[in-house]
Amino acid sequence: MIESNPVFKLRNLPFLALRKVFENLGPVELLQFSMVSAAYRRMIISLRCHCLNNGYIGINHSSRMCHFEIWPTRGGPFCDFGHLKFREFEDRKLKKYETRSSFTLNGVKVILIFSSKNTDGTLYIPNKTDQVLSVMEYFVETFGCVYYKIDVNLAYGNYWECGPLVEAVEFKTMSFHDCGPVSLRRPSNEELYKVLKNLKVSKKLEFEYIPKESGFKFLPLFQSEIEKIVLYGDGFVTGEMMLSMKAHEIDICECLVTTEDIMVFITRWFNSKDRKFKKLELSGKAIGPLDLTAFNATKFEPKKREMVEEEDWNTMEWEVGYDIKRADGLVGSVFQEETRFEFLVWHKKFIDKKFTDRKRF
Amino acid sequence: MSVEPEVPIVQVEEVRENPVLYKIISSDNHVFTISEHAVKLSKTLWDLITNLGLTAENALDNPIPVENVNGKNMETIVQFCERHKYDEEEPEYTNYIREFVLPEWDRQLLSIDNEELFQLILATNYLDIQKLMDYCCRVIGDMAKDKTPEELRIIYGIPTDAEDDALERSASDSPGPSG
Repeated sequence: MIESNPVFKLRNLPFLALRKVFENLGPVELLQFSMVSAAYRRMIISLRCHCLNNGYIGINHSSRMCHFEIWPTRGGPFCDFGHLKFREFEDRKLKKYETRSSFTLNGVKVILIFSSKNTDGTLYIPNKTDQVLSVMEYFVETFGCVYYKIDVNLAYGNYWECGPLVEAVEFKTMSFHDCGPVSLRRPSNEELYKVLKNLKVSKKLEFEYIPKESGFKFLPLFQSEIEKIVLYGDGFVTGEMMLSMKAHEIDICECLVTTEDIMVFITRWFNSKDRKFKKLELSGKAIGPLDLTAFNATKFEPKKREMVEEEDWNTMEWEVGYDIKRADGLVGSVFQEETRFEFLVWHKKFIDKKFTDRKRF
Repeated sequence: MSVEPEVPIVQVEEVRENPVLYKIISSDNHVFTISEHAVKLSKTLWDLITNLGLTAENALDNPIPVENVNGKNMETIVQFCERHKYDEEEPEYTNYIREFVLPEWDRQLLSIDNEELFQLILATNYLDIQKLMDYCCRVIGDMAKDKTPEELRIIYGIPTDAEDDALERSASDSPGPSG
């Protein structure tokens, strides 16, 4: 009688099949495979068709330093593959359907606990900045993960514990906000300057935080050329500050920008050859009606215009808009309703429904 | 009042019952009959049939020899292709990989010894049957579920770093073709 073979010779598979096997693995299995041997880790590095490839590393800093997660790229083919959570070491009992696995990642001893009930896993790591960084680096190097987003709640005083971590890594998106009991200590302006001074953001910065002390300075970080910046002005962002910003999308609410400042902004764009600027969104009490006659603006109905596929531009609720056409053909649209103002540039082609309706009949 | 349709409705099943058949000979000389719709799932076989100019009239008189696949694997492959011959064609790029669920019938078909499964994948790869390849790879991936690195090492026969190093050393120490 021939005994059945207990071993499946994975490495001997043709490349196409091997790639497909790894395509089917979730984050927990991929991590475990990378720990089996150096050869397997090298193989995973060379394969780029798995759920952690370009996976997002996100830190949600509310009260604990090691609270971060890795998940597959949103909207991609692996978006339902589950994710990995990272938590500070804790001694807890396993549930019936859970398995524990211990190993060393980039010199850091970690414990992985995963469940047969779902595709998620929790990795317990030491609460030390250098070790957290080493673990994150392992995921960047092995699986091609990217530092995607850090969410910092400035309401918690112990934010400063993760300051070095935030400064060491360049995240695509950084978000600062204030959410917590009033009793918690908020950082002073000096403390904020200290942290924000060293930050590096490559894509998007959200600063939805009202400094507790008056006279908060407009920092060079807000003037850097990044894709998008969102500021909660609360009466501190002036027209001069807004005009000094170089982000391609600017969103400031409750600012001190005036109608004249907006006219300067539009005129500057109108006379320039800038092809990067996408959108300016403002709200503030000093914004009044704009006179666009100098730009030969033409009226249109936003609801009769087919939106381009940009996610943020699909939500135009305006009744009336005005198109301004630049000498090079680029069109910008102005929308205004009381103290809300929006100016967006159409980098992709748009179609007016009115035009297509007329053609159809 | 019901209105009789002017054109008689043709039952799809009736059309399916009279397929064009092809003969395939495995490497160990077993002969299999497979329908046209089923054989189309294998890109390799269908290309061969097209290039040989086989038609409904001469197909059964011209068996196709497949030297890389034995009878056992060919039997599984024919069963699979006949089962899935009328499946809707899937888009090459599926948006959500996890959306595809391995049907129970196929899981049963692929519940075979590891060595047999390995040989079946080689045959599937050679015959270029996309769907069967997807299903086999899902079965292999599922073996890794809920396993620790040590368990993975045993299931997939993965050498340790030390064993890999030793193998590499012995390969470099052994004389080459000229030595």
